[in-house]
Amino acid sequence: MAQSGGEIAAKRAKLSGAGACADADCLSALPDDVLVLILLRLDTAAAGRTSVLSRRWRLLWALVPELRFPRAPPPDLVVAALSAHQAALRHLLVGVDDAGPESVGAWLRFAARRLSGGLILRNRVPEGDCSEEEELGRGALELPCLENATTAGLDLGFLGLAVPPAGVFAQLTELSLACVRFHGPCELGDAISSPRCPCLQKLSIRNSRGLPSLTIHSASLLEIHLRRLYGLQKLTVVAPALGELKLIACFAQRRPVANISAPQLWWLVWNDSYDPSSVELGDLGKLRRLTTNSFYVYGPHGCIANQVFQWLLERFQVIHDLIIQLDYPTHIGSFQYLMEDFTMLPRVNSLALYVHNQGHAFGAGLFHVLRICSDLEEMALGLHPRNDLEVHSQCESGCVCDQPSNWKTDELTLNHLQEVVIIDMTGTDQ
Amino acid sequence: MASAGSGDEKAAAAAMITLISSDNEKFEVTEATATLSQTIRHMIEDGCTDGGVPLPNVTSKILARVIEYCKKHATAAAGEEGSSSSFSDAAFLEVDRAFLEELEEFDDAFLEVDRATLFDLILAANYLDIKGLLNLTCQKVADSVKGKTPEQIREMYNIVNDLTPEEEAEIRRETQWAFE
Repeated sequence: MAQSGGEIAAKRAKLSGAGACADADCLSALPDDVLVLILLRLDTAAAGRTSVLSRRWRLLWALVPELRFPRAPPPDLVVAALSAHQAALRHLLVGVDDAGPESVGAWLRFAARRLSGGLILRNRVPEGDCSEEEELGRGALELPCLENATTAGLDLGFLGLAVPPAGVFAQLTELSLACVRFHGPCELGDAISSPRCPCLQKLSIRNSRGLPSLTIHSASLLEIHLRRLYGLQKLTVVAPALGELKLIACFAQRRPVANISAPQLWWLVWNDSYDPSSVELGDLGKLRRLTTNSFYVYGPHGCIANQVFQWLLERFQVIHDLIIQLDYPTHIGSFQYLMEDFTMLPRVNSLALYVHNQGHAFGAGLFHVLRICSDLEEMALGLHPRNDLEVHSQCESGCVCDQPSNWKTDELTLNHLQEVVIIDMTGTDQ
Repeated sequence: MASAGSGDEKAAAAAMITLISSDNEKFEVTEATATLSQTIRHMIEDGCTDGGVPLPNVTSKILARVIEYCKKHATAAAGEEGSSSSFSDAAFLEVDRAFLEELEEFDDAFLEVDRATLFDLILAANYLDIKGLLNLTCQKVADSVKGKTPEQIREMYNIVNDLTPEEEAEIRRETQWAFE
């Protein structure tokens, strides 16, 4: 590489000595690998169009190791491009608009054989004009086995997805699935567990349907992130190396059934329904950080969400870093003040407390929490980022939010506190 | 920021290397500056830099520009190593941001060169294996052809079309996906 660059550099040295490049074709004179670097910076269609510049350029595009079709041409033309392409394919991006499973499957089967790097597939669908029945009628994309792919990110716009019943995803380290409607007969869990996905380290599934039960046995997984798996009823994870598990709004209001065995887990985000009688979290001796559901400062008496919040925290004696959120309604109206239901916290060294206060006074709520964890060494206090969207929202006049006022006169002692970080607040925020 | 580090690192940073251009001009640079070039880094590791490093493919005019780039970016690299990654250290983030902006301005100004110099810089960056400079210069060329038709690109870079009309039509058929 250096040599070919060198040879031509020597040629060029003469040329520039003559003040050239004004009328010489210095671009075509660059070595192949440099031209490939330039073409890599264009989208694939633009790179492909350079094939007609001259004989020199005819197949240069085919040496570019990454193909990106953000607005893909019809499937047969994608196949044509993939067939003519020559370099090892280390990245393939395809964006389609409201495509059917057959048209995506046509090139995906072809690409699967050639791909040795990352795959990104995005099916853009118009928002919200498709009923679940319509979706079901659209059939399912049969995912080929990606034998040599290292990463895959599929955002299917609620196309059905049938995972392959056989084959090993031998190189796959990261899998991200979004807006997928899972389709039998093969269980996703079988395909992504260790025998068939021996290198998988990061798994993310979000906004998906059709997965009532997910069972993962993986020796390699380090991170699992599950968000809004509509209809999930049962989750089983046996992952001895797992460090991070994030479960967000999957069980929603249903009774959660989960069995987690992840002895190396250091960060658990459980922003979801929790029931100690049906959720088994196993040995979490290495757990350092816990992120929970919100606690609702105002609500109806016996608020289930707050009960869930307490149940989860009761599971732990000690949490080094605890991240919680206090949530306020827009209008308090006839809601009860519920902080008295906030009765315990595990022993916490470092507390990050986010307040989604919607303009309400939150001093009393904050005071209540700090009273319970008086061993605190570090704390961070921040307004929830969603607050920023509501430009200086103020609660209505006559709001009862500042009624609990004993916190202004009661004493609070935090003997061990060493560090406090307050993020994005003004002196008048209370 | 660059002064942070152990005594050994300081000694290494102070070590000087002589680079010799194709027209025999000598440039004294610090090892930290020179090793932005992977080619030179390997020479140093192999202990073949005594008596200077001859660079027969790079003229003094281009080498001076390349060194200017490496000096600026070597300081940046030292800054990154020395900086704290703590989120609470807002002062540090402020400094980093200002420095990155300054670096971007430097890069933009650096690319204000005629086309012959740009291509010479690309070849030098490729030969010396200086990733940042190669990316920067290739990006400039890529930006120049973005949104252009093949005819416009040919005209811009004096590319002679040596394809027969039949051949060109055939290639257009083969790469129909690119012309959709």
